[in-house]
Amino acid sequence: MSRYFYYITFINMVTSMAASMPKILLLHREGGAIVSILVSIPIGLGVCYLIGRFYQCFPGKGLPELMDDYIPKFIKILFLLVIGLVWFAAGLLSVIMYSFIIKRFLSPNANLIYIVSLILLFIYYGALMKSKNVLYVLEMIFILTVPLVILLIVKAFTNDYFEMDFVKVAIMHAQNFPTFSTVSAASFIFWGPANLVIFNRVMTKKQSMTWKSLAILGLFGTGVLLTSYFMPIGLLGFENVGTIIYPGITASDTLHFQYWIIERVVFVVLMLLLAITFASILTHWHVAIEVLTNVIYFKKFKWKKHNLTPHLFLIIFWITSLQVVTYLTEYQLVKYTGYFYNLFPFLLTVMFLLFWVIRRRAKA
Amino acid sequence: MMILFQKMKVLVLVLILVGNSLLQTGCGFKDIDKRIFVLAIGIDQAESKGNRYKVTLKLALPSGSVKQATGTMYSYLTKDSTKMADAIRQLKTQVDKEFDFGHLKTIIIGKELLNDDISEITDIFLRRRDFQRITWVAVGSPTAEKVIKTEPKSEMPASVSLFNIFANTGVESPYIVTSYLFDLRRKMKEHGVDPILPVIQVDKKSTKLIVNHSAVLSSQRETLELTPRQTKIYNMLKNNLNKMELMIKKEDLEYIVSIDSLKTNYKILTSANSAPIIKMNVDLVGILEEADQYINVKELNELSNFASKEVEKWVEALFITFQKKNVDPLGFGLRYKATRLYKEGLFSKWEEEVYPNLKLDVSVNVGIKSTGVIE
Repeated sequence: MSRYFYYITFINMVTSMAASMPKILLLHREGGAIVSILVSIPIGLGVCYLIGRFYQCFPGKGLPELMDDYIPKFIKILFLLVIGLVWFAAGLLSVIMYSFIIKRFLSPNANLIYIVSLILLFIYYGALMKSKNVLYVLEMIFILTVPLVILLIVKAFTNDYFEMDFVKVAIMHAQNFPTFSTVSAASFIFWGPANLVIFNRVMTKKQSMTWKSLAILGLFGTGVLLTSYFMPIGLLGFENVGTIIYPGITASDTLHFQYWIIERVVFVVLMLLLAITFASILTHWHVAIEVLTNVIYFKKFKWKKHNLTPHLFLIIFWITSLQVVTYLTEYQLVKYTGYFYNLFPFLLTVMFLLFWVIRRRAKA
Repeated sequence: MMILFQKMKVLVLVLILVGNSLLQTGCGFKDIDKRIFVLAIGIDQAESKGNRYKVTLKLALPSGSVKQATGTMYSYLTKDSTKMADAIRQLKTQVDKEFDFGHLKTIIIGKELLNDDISEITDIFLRRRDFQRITWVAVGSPTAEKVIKTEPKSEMPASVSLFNIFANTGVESPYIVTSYLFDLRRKMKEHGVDPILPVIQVDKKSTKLIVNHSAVLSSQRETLELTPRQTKIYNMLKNNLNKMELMIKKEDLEYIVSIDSLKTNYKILTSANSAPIIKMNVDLVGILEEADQYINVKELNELSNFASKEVEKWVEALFITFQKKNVDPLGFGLRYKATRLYKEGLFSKWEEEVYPNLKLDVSVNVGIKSTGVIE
């Protein structure tokens, strides 16, 4: 596959590490969290494979174009509206998550509205870029941050205070059955390729989804899942970890650089997180904007030959974010993110149904 | 027109960025000369009636440069209150600057408070984000205030004794147990392992800090204080050490072995028809450091074996002390949970049946490889 395919997927995986996914799994650490992780890997890889296989048949075409050709208009509009809203919600959850984290750890005196506006100022510009440029941004952020993230993960696992016994206690709870919500939370990290709805437009070259690409995805995804589950447990203790609001960040606060300018690893982690979360919000909202403008487009809403429909959507996004961020609490955020993860299996089922219809009609 | 617009776009972006940096200073940022750094915090039993805690802060007084400074300069503040946060708020009214806890690296808990609820004392440090989770926690004897206020002679500007004791960058000693705040917390919450804290003692003239004892906190709120040798053995069993020394007395021969490679592992074996047993293996490798007699190379084996037997006795004695007091700083209970599939009542079985009847089967292998430079 094109390397951009991996960037999209990997950025989604790494962002999930900082989102509510680990928290949801850790809440079920005495339930079926481990089995959920194990189950979600084949499911996730299967989904990646199917999405990759579908789009490789139609190089250079996004889902809206394909639906134009093969699907009734009514269904198309309905489905794309749902996709647009869901992708908007995905970005929104990241925005809120990260604003909360900044508010809690970096500058507790700053106003939430101000933090959100500052993030969105850059997203506003970013989401309006061409799809290709968004991918370039992703590539840059990926190359700059992910090696450092991997280094920090290695540092965490080789730390003297990383207690294997806690991890083993967690493994001893493996006999429990998974629940739907934990499986969908764990497998959410693999849903990155769904962004191809739009980004396939840019992948004009012939792609091929092979076992090698699946192996890379599987390796990375397994690493992300195991890290985000076992690292907080090993550092914060099996019973204690449930009382922590942001397990990943608090776990990183237990590490320190002995001979570096910054002693507390947590601040480095927050910076890296900022970059990665930015990339994630950018992709999600770019897709949302593109999909929504495909459905709702005001031809006359113009200013000097420049159509303002995307701006309209972005301003709506902005206002909604500001409204939601003042209304939500951290606990509600985890709860709603859980609902959001639960939504995805259904959405993907519908999507695969459409894929099936499109491929059948395209062959005919 | 179009070209002009494109040039303007860059300008607008730059203006936005610059404008933003101006706004940044507005979000609660205070200059460094308006802040005062808290280096350590001590918590004692309150002396006045109606209050619970006596909080002592050690504040660093900044000087222009390290060279100019004539010595260390600290200031101390003390306040009684029922709650920690309240004491800190009240202390704020005694200074003209904002407290900065970002450099707070040691929390000292007074010895008298040990039988109190430690989780209540440490709550504020865990709840507030500006306290580092990598703060060291120690016990102050006789009081935390005395420990905080001691300024050892060897202390230099920008090198705080209380930090050097625990960071392995300064002194390294097998008698020092280090406990980070997060480590204390996870051990307090987890069933099957008890927290252990170093005890910092102050000599009578308040000129020295002595760290060679440690205190094991238990859920029954009965603190077990470990002697220096017990502390060392604890550290050895916990694999915390890179090197240590053993002083062995064999009849009229007294010798010291300097150990530079040590490794401990253990297994808990339980079966239905026999008593539960811990199989423990300790491997110690080192060379002779001091002996009060001539020692032939041929005797080394014998000395090694004798040392092994001695260490075995020490380990066993320590284990029985733990068992009698029903404390578990080494985390045997945790290991028990970690090696058995979870089921209801697993841990209560450990507490009621297994741990009280547990037998220790320890085999120590001391390998003395050389007599050093001379025989």
